[in-house]
Amino acid sequence: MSDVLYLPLSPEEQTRFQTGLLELLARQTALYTSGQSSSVPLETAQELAASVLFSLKLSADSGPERCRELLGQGMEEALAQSRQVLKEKVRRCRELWTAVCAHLPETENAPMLETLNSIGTFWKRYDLRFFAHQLPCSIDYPLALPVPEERQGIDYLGLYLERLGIENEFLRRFRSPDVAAALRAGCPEFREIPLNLFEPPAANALGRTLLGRAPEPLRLSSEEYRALAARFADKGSAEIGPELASAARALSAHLGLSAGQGTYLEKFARGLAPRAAACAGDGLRGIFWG
Amino acid sequence: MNPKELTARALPLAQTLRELERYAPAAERFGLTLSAEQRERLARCRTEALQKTGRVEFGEGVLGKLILAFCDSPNLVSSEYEETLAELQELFYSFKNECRDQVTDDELILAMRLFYDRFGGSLDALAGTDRSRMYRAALTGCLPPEETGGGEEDEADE
Repeated sequence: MSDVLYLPLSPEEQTRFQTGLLELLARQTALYTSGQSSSVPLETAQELAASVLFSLKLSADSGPERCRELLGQGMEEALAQSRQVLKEKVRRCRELWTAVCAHLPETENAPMLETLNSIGTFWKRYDLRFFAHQLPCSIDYPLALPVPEERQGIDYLGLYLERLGIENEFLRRFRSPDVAAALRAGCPEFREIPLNLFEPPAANALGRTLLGRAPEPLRLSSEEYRALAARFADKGSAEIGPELASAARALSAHLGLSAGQGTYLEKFARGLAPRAAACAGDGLRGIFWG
Repeated sequence: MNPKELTARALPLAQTLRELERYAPAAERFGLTLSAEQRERLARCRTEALQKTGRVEFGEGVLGKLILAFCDSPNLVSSEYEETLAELQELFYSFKNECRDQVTDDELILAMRLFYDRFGGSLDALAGTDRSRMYRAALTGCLPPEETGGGEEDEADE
């Protein structure tokens, strides 16, 4: 049975599927204009279409099984159900935002605060009925591990807040002066510019862990820089990656991070490997912050 | 399937033809008739007008409403019926854009009819109507005073 689901759509199924989608889009357009306008600008039509596709979890990569699922369920019914799912996502996302706002790191960064303020307007502006794929807020604060661009709407925001919460929770494990010192070493204007606060302290903590030292005070001496550079010399990314991942696991255990936080730190650590391999000869500046 | 592909599939020709079939008889009592070839040409004009004005339409268009709104105009000449409808259709979508979709179809069609009659059926004059005047007429349902020269504020921009 499951094999049948993955067979390419028959011409009849394709026609039914496309007609169903078009009818749904026509209904959405009529609702959007309150039946007062038979036509809409192309850009509006494309945004309405993008919202329908997002709500129905349809993309260019969607296989025949998803199309058959929708045909079986009925497009309109599927869209109505998707709205319930989206509403629940919005509710959870709002809780997450409240939690992130309540647990900010002591070290402040203006773009992070502005981003969180802007997200505060999202709840009123988000239109899951017609523009569910949109993100009506400004997100200027960068994450160490950016949310993939393919993510849209509430899905993007949910993952962004989840990651921001993890990064901030990590920073809160350290003394604020130590975090600020690690940041100031690489960028004295770290409070004003859109600079990720997690990356420098986390990289330094990983470097110190690799050397068998406690992560605090989140700074590396010249001697420690040299020791790390020597450790990475003549090694490729494939070798450095597992070392950094192992350091991440040790650091997670040391800090008592949750499984999700530990996984994030490990992913971040592995992401440092190509850059560490490329600039081991240059003293690792820009990866670890002195 | 992406949004561009999906919107490009809108507008089957058959739908426009069905619409014309339904509304065309209402105009026949005024001596306005459309042959099958003319209907098909008008249906194609709808697609072209939408493409030209950058708009998308699902389901029925405005041809039926234009027929009902203009068929009793003393300025509509039966020998130019097809061309007039085609031109009115394109002007409609164009004004819709110019009014930033701030007026309904019915409001705009009524305003177009008012101007059309004021201009004695001149489509050129209708096409040259200032958008703020068309917008105001659509909102109020009546013609603004005759232009005496001098600028007017662009209300559709507000």
